[in-house]
Amino acid sequence: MDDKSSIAQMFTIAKYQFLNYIRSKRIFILLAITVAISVTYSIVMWKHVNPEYLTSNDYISRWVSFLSFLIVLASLFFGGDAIAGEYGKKTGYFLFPNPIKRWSILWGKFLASYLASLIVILLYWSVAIGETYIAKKEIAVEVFYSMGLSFLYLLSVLALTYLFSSFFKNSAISITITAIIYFFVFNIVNSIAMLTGVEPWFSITYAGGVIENVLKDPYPPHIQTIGGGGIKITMFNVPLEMGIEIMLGYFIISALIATFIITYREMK
Amino acid sequence: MYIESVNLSKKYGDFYALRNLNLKIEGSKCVGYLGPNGAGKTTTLKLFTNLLRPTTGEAIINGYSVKKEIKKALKHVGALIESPEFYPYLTPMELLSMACDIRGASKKDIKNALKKVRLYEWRENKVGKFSKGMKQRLALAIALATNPEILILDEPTTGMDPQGMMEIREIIRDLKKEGILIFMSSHLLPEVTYICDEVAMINRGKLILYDSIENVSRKFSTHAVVVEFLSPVEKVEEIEEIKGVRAVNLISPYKLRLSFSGGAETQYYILKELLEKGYRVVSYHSESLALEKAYIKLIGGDNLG
Repeated sequence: MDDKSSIAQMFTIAKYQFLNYIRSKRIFILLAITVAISVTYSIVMWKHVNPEYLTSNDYISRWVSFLSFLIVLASLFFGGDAIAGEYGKKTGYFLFPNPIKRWSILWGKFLASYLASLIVILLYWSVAIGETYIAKKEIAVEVFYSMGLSFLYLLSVLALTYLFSSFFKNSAISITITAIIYFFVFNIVNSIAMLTGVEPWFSITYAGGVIENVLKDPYPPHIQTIGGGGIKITMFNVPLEMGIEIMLGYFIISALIATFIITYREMK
Repeated sequence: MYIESVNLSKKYGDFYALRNLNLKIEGSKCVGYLGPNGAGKTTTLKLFTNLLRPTTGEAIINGYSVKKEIKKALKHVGALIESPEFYPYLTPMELLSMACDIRGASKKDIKNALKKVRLYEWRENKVGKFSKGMKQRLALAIALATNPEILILDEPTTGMDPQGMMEIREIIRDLKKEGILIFMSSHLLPEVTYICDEVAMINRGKLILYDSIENVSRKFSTHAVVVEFLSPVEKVEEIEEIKGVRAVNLISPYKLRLSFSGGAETQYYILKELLEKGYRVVSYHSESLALEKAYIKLIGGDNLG
């Protein structure tokens, strides 16, 4: 028996986790959802948006506005139960007694989840770019910056999803709570920030704004204040560097904590 | 090859699930690990397979600490802990391949392992549809596929039908011939007597006995046999007069309990005398398993599992 390196074991876990996504049809379900959304969007764009009055970046930004939602959905689909399931569904009794370090398991699964999510996101980007090219006959370089930032956003959202998954024992609870945090808590935080004037630099969805912002020319101002009727609303647009820093911060911190938790978590 | 626990303890709050376990099991043999529910059996096996982390002490396999050097410690270990579940969309072939891939082991014995546990015909079916007994067989096949030197089994016949239990017992007995060290928890005393060479008993997290089955049988033998006859016994006095017989209790007209003094020689002599006197003996066996006696004597005051 060869001594298999922890990195090689990580790729083994990734391979079988990806196989599991295929066999469970999870990846095909999300791809089908993505296709359905893309077709619907295309019809809406053709019927209601006149490309003549828009730059190609303005045109594609209407596609990109939905991307953050798709990234969160992909993270929940592929990462929501990745670790919680090992404990809750008892598959850990099969996996953990092997001569393998826990971080190899976590990162192998993460790799498979990232790859599966990337396929879904790339499909969406392909349709968005294709449709934009048909309408505007050009694709600006900022689109590829936006694409790169969406991959980074996926990395950070997925890491945070894995962190939640490593906390919980029940897969359903893990997915539900993570979904509530993404779809409600962070949005509420962003709304409160608008009213209080406190910049939500700690919000991952705030950082995700760079994906759309990078397509705008000029880049929107960091802080805009709108007043009137006794209400003052502060609009925050995350600057590019800050957005990248927040996303990297979320990725690194979430990944470190998730690795620590799975290393020391017991299968009681 | 050996497994060893050194002052191994596991504590949950103020409750000791396992307390200062010192046990070394070495060489090719099968050791039964007995104890009532909640005694600490599964806790011990989980500590040896990295599912739990010890509060104090060390679980050591072939010289390597499971906590500190998990890859080296578990390299040659196959394990079946509790009733594992599997990724429902994968097939037995894929799951066994996965186990081999993780270990960097050859896949040449995958089919044999599946044949051994009678799952070969199901090798390409998704595991999600398997019954509990089939999953238990699959878990054993996974433990065997990598040709381990050491097998750690937690109640391996749990959830199986009688035929399945018998088959698993035979598989384990066969494995002993292949020079494997098997550490197996069970609460079925006849199973341990049938399969194992040695027995370790644990209660309330503490080891209370570790000896060979032979020695336990000798120490806890009851010097009593139950004899069943084809026809009713009419002259009990005649049996009482047989050399070595101390007392005869009539359980029913067809069944007697004979107490005797002496060992196996006396037991044999009494049977010979009964047959020579024309009694038609249909069954002649020790009153109860010596292991059962030991278990009841050592643990009996507590809730028996």
